Amino acid sequence: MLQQFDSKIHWLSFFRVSVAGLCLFNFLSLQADFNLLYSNEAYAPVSISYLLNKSNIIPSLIKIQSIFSDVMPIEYNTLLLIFRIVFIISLILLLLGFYSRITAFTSLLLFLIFHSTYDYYRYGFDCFINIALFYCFIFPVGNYNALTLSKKLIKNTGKYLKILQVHISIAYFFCGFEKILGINWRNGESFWKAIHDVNYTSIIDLNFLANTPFFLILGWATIILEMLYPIFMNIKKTRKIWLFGIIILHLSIALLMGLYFFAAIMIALNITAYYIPYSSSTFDFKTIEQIFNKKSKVSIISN
Amino acid sequence: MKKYFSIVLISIHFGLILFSCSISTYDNYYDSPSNKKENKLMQQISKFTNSNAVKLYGELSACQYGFSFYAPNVRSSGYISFENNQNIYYPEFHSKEAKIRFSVFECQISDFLLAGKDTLIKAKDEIKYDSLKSKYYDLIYKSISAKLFTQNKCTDKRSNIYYTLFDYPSLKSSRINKQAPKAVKLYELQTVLNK
Repeated sequence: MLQQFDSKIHWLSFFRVSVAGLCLFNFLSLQADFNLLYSNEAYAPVSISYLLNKSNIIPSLIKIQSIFSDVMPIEYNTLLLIFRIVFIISLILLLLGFYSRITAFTSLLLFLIFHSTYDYYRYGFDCFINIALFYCFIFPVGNYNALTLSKKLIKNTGKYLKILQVHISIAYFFCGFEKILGINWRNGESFWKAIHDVNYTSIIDLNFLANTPFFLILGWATIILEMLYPIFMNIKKTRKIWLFGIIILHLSIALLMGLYFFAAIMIALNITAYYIPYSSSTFDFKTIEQIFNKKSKVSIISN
Repeated sequence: MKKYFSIVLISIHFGLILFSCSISTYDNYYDSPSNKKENKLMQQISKFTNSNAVKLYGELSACQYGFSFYAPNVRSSGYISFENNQNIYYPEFHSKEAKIRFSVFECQISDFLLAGKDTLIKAKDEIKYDSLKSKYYDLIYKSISAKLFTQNKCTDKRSNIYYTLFDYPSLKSSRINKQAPKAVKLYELQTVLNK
């Protein structure tokens, strides 16, 4: 199952594991409150809140229930329970690399059905998970370090890497470009407002810096990091420093706003696209096996 | 042949992403419909991206989303509270992630309530849609009310549910003098439980 780790091709297995792992952790973290959010006994029951959903192309759970109501009548909460179990299994299989293309497609489809039903709970994390699951389906992510390895090994993964890099670069550019259009990002007010949002929890109080140009600098630093991302991440000399800056930006989103999952997926995508493929490390799992074998032989002899 | 085919597919993929991002940026820049200028190019692009085939591909690949997180400005946010017998209750969750997701929903309510103030500049069909939306939110408030009532074992049949906008003093005003955050009640609904 484990092969020699070559960073130029193994970014794909890191991509698969990090995306499936984060999506799984996020879904598991919601289990304690699942009924309060998603069932018919929720604060905003699905039968009411579903009425104003925008999406109508991908069928929602309610639509699926009504389609099968004549053939196989099933209660909504039972359908939701089946969905929960299948989604978790599908993500675990994708994480392990069990028929990765099929499990990636199943995970993507289930993810879309779920968010077609609960569109109003969707935020940035879900947008990037959607993108990543789509690429897990398109890219040969099951080629390396997977339970079931593809028969046809693709060694040239460059074009897949370029697709991911271009998509992330467009995302960052537009993120920064839209920020520069609003005056409040240019004078630091937006950063100040974001960290004082009633719904987010900051673990650090930065109010003592209100009389310094700290927030102004932070606002401009965010705009520059995001808008110039496509240029400086693709220049060899500046890549590492820009990546460091972007990771710091996402870590501050996690610490100052409490958006841990959003920060984690963004860091994972950046590492996948711009760190692993360019790191010169090659790592052979067989050498670890050999070291362990040697050690166990020594301990047997000494006994 | 295979190479050219994949080049065409990749071009379509990134073309769609660029279209969607441009529309999103344009919409956010002219955030109020009354401010929106007639732009034929944008209308044509919107028409194309709203076709069913493009929409389906867009949903599968997440191509139809713009990336306007906290831009051009950070949105105002608020919270729902419930009062019964002079006690105040809030929708509570075990995990932080569930709280964040519920707050995304609450933000949509504050967007709607704040946008509702501009009814004079809205078109007729928009007002009609808004009145439908306000009925919808009334239903949501009533359902949250009923849930919090049973959850907290309330005794008084009369209760109130509020939507409060959290207004934190701006950076500029905080520099001049220290101000306490303001809570502005945007919505209030009295409910009476019939058993």
